[in-house]
Amino acid sequence: MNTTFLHTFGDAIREAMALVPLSAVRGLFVALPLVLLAWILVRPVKSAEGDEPPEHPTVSLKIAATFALLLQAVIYAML
Amino acid sequence: MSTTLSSIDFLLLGLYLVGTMGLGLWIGRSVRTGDDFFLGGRRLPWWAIGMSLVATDIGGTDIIGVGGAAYGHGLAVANFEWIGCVPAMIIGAFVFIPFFWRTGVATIPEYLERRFDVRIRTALSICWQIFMACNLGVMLLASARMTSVLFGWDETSCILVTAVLVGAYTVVGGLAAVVYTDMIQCTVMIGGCLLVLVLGVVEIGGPGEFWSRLEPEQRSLILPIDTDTPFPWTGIFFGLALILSPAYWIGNQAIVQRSLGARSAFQAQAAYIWGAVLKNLIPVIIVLPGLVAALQFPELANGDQAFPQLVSHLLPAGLRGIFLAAFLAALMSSVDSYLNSASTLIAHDVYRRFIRPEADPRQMLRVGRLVTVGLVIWAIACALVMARLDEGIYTIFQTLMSFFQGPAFAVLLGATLWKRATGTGALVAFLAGLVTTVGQFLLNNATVCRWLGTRPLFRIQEPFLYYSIWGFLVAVVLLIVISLSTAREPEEKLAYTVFR
Repeated sequence: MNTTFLHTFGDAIREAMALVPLSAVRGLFVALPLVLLAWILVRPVKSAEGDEPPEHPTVSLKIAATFALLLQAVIYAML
Repeated sequence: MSTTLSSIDFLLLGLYLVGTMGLGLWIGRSVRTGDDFFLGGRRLPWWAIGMSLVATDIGGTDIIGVGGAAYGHGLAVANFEWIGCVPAMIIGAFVFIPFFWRTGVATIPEYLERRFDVRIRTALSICWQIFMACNLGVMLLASARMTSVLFGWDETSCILVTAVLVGAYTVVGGLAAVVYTDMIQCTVMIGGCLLVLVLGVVEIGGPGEFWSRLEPEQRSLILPIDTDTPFPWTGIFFGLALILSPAYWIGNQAIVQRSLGARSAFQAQAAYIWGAVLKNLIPVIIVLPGLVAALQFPELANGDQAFPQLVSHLLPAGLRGIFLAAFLAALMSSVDSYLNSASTLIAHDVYRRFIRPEADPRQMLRVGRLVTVGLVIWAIACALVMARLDEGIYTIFQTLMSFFQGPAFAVLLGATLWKRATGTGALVAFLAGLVTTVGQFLLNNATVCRWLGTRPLFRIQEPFLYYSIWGFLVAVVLLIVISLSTAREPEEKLAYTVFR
């Protein structure tokens, strides 16, 4: 079987990735929703409360987003 | 199952179908213009759109296929609904969706023309139109193969009945009918699948017993790089979570279109977040039943038999109608969405852009309905032709059609976030990304490899997640290089088309 440059390159990446322990990988999966959550929480409040006319009740979208992302972090920490 | 449906089952199914059709046709009474038809008159509420997002994403074939994948590969398939959806939906909600809503466009390719030029709009729109038109045929056929087993009808009848039922309310009611019927379908789908799960877990002996009897690898979301499944962590994290998922939730016309029909940018945001909250529940109802089946029926020849086997075993006559309604709901909610979005692309990106730019709202409505009828006929013909071909052909075809999502996402990111990106850079990047993904597919194909005397490029089954990574990366690099070597886009063009 011939091996091309792409095979060699791919094998090198695969070997490098295989060295990453699964515990660190789990950390990566948990960190993704948490980093996103931190970014959302520091965003200006206006961007999360939208542009509804003032007579409408303004519900902060951050609360619901926080709930969805925290659930993700818990799921990936446990499973 | 076809011989064990009772009259109560058929009554429940009938009630569901009459309710859905009635609602869709009733909504159609208030459709007067093209804007009503394609964007629901921009009056859609967040709670309906959020449920429609979830229903559109889960097709009838997904219920069977995802349950089957869980049966064979374990919980890892849930990644497609969790990390493969929730983060991208939240990013979409806070950055891209309100931005697209404020630009007032009807299609994503239309936005790309405003930001760049007509070339990239046309290239992307053609890809989406081909994908959606063929996908409609694939969805109809795959669904017919399931329903023919469930009802004992022949495939052709199932294709015709499904197409006519879905086509009728989509032609009359447009996006509003699609979104509101999706809402019912989402509720029925969750209820029906939850029923199967609860009864299955109870029969095993409760949640604790169910969980303890699963093998450790069946319970794990994160699989090593040398796994036998198509879900190694590298593909899931880099290919799915970082590329394919945002490409889907931010750039797929069938998904984004319903949020463009929201009452306000806030409602469009809220819809995506509501969808993300619901998405946390979806693997529980469609993946876990596959694991229940793995414990109850470990000897099944094919994982796709897992869900039907569970239904047949667990649900008494009378309750099976609820699951069948859920299955039909999932099936119809995907077909109606792709039907409406494909007609939107053709009407806006072809008819109004190239044939009649001065088309008034009533003409657009007529065109939208005619195109939808044409697509229904096309989908039926496509499904009937594919039914005569080898099953692998349409699977490969569908895979081929999904190749452009990574490059398209690179272009969309550049368009929205980088002022220096140019039209020529976007076009070259998109085309080079396509060549990259198709090239990888060919270099991984067994026949091509034999001919070249090489081994396949990837070592896992179905490495489509890896294709997207490299297609995306090549597109990003070329977008940067070509854009920096070509003239800047005029400032007035960038004022409302780049995110600030």
